[in-house]
Amino acid sequence: MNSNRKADLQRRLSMKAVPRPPAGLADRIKADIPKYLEPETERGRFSRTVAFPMRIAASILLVVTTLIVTVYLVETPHEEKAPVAAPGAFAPAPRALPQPATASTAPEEVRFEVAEDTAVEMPPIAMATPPPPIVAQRRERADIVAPTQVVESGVERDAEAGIAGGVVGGTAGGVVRNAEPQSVAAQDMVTAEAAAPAMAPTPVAPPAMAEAAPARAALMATGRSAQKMATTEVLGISVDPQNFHRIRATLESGGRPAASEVDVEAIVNYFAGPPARRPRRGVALDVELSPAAIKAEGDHAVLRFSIDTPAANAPAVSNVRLEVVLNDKVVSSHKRIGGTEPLPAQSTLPNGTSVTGLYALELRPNLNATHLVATVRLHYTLNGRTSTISRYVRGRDLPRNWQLSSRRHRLASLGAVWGETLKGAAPGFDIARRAEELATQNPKDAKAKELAAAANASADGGR
Amino acid sequence: MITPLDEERRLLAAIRAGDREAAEELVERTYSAVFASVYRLCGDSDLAADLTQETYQKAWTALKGFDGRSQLFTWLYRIAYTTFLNHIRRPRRMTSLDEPDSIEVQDERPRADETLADAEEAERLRKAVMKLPEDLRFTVTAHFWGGLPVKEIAGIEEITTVAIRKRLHKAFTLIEAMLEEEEVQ
Repeated sequence: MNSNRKADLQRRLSMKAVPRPPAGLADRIKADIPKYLEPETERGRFSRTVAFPMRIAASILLVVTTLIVTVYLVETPHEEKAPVAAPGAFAPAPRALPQPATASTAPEEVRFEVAEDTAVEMPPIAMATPPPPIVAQRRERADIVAPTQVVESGVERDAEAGIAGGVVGGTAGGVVRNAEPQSVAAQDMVTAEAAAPAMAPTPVAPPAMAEAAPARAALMATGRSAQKMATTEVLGISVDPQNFHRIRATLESGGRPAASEVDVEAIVNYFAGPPARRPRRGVALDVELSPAAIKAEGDHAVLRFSIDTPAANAPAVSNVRLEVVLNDKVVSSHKRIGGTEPLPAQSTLPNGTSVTGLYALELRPNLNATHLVATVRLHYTLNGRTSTISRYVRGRDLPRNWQLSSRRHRLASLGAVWGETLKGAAPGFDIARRAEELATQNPKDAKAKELAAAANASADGGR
Repeated sequence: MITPLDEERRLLAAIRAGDREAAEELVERTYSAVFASVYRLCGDSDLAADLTQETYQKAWTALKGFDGRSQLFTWLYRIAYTTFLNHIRRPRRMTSLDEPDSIEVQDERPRADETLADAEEAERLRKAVMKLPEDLRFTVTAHFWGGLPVKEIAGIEEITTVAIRKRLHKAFTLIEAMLEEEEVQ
């Protein structure tokens, strides 16, 4: 249709060819006006206007509430029956007393937990069955002394008799809990990546916790190397960025760092870094599961947890305690990459803190989407109020391949493989290629480039 | 034709307060335009008068529901249009849109501005408009015969003014096709 035809049609439609209304039409209409036009009150009109939106809002609220409740009910696993106790308030549950080592029934979960020291008396702890090979391998390493306690198959073992008096454990829900003296956290230097003033020594532990100081000394003497203690740590996890810089300098000079100089935890934290966006207040817990970055020694998975605090100007969280519970039904063995267990509690997490830890999990072949793989809980106190963040990791959270996981997770897990390769704890793999892929995907990511360069340097110089 | 907004508000407030004179004033101001719109829809002066009267009867009843979001005449036109549709849908009183004799203009008063040819052409056009799909038909009649601005129609239909213009364009195309088809026959 051209514009002329359109204009002609409009003109014809607009032509006024209407007769006048018949005489008397106005009177007929006026005669129909009701004698009493019903006055409507302002209130009535307002109610009518508001009623419909209010009904819609109420419906939306109802639907959202129903969804939240449904999701909560569906997500709450039946296995999780352990009560969330306030720090320092672990009371042994009657049902959950440690079972003798000779018991034939295996518990359902393996739980790692670090609790604040309490004066709760514990029954004698049963001796554990031998640890799995993966744990044994880690304990044999020269630079990391055997962990204070090894928890396996629901039985805890006090590895160091000297600290037995300072270790208090409790059991709940059929799961063994371990505790490490609070003074560990109190004496550790808490570090933050940004807030230097906030990196002062943490406050003095409460009296009950201070009693464990001798145990702490014993722990230092028997458990951790001096180098480990000198590094900056958060929740017992090394976050010292200088470790990577030293390694890089060594590689760039053509050498190869000694195994004792390589701190895998620190490398993991260097590459994991802070999140893209920090929480505004409180603390954030990020948990992710993925296949291994580079397949070796079977098809294991990598569980990552990252804890982040606000950048600044937020109340610091205190009494921080991380609890990782692995479901023994689907996890056949595990190890914490680059670190020991259990993780100590931390009395204060300053602003600007980021810490990442990794677990290598050997998953059973019967894993399906609904199986609960792990539960990670972060207990903390903020403004005098104790809270717990829980993250449930299920089979469906395991992506098909490593490339589908988050960038932070990929950098951390790849950094871990590289670190272990440097230490000789794992055979060498084509880490550089993976890192280069990461760097290619996001050219602005300096960390990926650094990792690729370092991996190339180590591959050239070391092997 | 269309009462200015402030005047409309004053009238409405008075009517809602029970002022009969205000209601009569409203009738005086609007009934000619309503009649003209209905006449263009049905093409029959007597029928248009009846439908106009029926329109106001419905308006008094529905006055409580008028929220003032559109102009008063827009609201009245919508009632008139619905009244017309109800009329042609009534089984026994339905006015056939296809039979020329049934919709002959019965008004015998002289129409100085129209020739017979113009009247025939206007009737052909009216029939073509009546054959449009409902949404296009309302848009065309409200805009050209009711005199409603595009924005007002968009408000009634709860769509954008762009969508109204698209409707008009589509309607023009269909009307032209129908007129050409009629010429061929």
